[in-house]
Amino acid sequence: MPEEFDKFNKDELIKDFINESADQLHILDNDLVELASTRPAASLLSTSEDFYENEEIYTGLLNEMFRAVHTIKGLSTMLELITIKEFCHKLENLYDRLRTQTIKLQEEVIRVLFLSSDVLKGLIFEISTNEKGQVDYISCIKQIDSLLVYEKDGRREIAMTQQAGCLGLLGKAKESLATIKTSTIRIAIEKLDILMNLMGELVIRRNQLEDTFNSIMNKYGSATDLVLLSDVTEQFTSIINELQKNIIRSRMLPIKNLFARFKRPIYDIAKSKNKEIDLICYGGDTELDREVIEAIYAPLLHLLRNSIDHGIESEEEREKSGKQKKGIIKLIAYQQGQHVFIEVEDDGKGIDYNRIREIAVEKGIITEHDNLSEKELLNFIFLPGFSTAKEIDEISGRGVGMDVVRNNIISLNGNIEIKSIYKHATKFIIQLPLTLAIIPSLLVRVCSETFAIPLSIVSENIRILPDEIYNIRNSRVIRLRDILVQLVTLDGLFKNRDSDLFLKGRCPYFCVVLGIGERKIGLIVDELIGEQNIVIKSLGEYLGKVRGISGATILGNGEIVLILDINSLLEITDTNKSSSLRKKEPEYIYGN
Amino acid sequence: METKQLQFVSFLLGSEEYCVDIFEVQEIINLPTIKQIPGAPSFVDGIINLRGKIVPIIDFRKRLNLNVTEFTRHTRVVIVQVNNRVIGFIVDMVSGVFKIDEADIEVTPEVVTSVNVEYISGVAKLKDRLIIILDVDKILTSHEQNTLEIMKVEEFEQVKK
Repeated sequence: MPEEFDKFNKDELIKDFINESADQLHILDNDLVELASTRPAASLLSTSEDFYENEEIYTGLLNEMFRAVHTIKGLSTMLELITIKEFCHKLENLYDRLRTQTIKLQEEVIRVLFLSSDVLKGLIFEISTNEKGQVDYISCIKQIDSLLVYEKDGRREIAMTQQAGCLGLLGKAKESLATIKTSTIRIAIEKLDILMNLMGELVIRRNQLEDTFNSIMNKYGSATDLVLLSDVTEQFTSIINELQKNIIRSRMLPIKNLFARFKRPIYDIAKSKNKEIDLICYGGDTELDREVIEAIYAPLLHLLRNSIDHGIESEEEREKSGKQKKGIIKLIAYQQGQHVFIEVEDDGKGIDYNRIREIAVEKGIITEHDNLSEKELLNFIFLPGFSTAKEIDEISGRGVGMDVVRNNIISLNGNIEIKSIYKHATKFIIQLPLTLAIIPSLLVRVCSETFAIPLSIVSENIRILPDEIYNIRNSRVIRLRDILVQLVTLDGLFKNRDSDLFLKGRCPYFCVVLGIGERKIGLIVDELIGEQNIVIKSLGEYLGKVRGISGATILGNGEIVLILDINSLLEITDTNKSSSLRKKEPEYIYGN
Repeated sequence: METKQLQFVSFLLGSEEYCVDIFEVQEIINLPTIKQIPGAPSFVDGIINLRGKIVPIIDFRKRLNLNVTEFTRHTRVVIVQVNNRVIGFIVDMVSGVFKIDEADIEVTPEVVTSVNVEYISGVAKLKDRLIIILDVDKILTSHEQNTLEIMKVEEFEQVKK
């Protein structure tokens, strides 16, 4: 079937094209932002002393950008993507004239460069989605053309040849630096996925081996043959552990690539809000699993948007409060134990707790007399539809963002926290696991079913007596030290299951306290089975998302255990939010 | 002139015979232990552990509104892979594998059958009988809601006209 083979090939080629072009586009964008913020004086050919310093930066950037466009042109030529090839050709001309300084870098030129970058992105995106004809590249080409028609100034030509020698040398130095190849290799992510799966199987078998071995040891501990078996088993398990660690590491990438992707969007957003932002990144070398990095991009972008939109004040306001004109946003990544933390911090106006109280009262979530701590108020930010922005604007403020951000982070088995000092700063702290594949979990039994709960959200396990339970407006809560914790059972989740454990009256009740940020809910279970590292298996493409279940795992004995989805549990309790936050003395009702 | 030959696996659903393209069939297994999933649609019987991979099991009889009979020793699960999705469906009995010429396949909507015409990709004309060819992809994709959020779009924002 030769035709099918060709189609398969072409799809692969297109995928490669898009991946490679995406890389080049990132370079282009980052350089554009740098160029726009550090652009040298309007007349490059002035005779100031720092002429050469600016020159080097300028030419270096432009050479790099030229090469990026040139590379994309080459790739598109191979695949006969004519529109892209011709567009790149035009853009290449512009970059060439810029780097040889036959065109001055002015505001208008920079604007067209940004536009071209967007158009190019759009054209390439069209290829990936197969919808041609949406992007208006023609008007962009016209604008490039009008810039290219530049009158050559006689004097400039002379000055050019004088500088040409030095420029040539600088150019060459930069070229050779650019071609130093790092000792890395591109590898299709699917290959690593296969390795991960196999490793997952190994982990399951290793657990099984350990269990089996231990039970044999218990029966026949002293036989000499067993001593040998014991040695071999031990070495075997230790090699598997090493293999596990290293395969996980092979899928990890430094987070600085992710941070770099934010440069351009932040520039765009800040510009549209008439604010100037300095993005400072720390900990770029911290490594994260590639899947986690991909998944955390959108939530982080949303947080950054919020910071620029609602966190950082306008220049006038900032000057009034004695802050520097440019808003500062910090992205900090670090590893601690089995987790990676990413902090998004801005030195903006912080969170106005009073305003949150007001809105919560407006929405009827609490009453005016309720006395809530700052921590508890912060949790409201994660409620769907909750927004302190007075007008909903195009970018954010619609209040649909933060709950989605939290849900996404939870589906990654992570967690998120907010800290804020009113008028000074706001910080979001995101906690992420090192890998999505294997997580430590708590196995519990509810009725006759076993479920797994990711340990990252388990706060503690407690036993509850009936008289500790208060009934407030159809919700059962208990007091845990200084906060009220709402209790849930799985029958709220799986409506056709007979698992309202409260009705069964088996006390004391076992309760697993789950904590997300400052929010705590208590899940009632029949029995705590134990902790175990489990390999997360998705339910597959077909089933996709099933309410209440985030995935499944296979235990050593082959049994399938479902993994509980915390987002669904939160959803149930969110609708009962009004009742679970009152601090004043509740009515004592409930008795078994 | 050579005509293309296609191969199909035929099976019984209830009392009617159906078949699917053999290229979609990954394997056929005996009925395994099926783990039920509380929140899943009613025609999803549950999931199984297929050599370490989670595979959902769909009851085609329920999905196609056919009579559901008890499991017997002939009951099998046919594992298919379509569009990167691997699923298994329960059949009452596997009747065999056959080859036919492409020319002997009719795309006819006039066949009277209890199955929704949408799920049929054609009819195979054998010497002695007709067998309905099921379109597994259609059966799996119709009525589905796409719950994936396309976050990557943020990165490629298109130029507005």
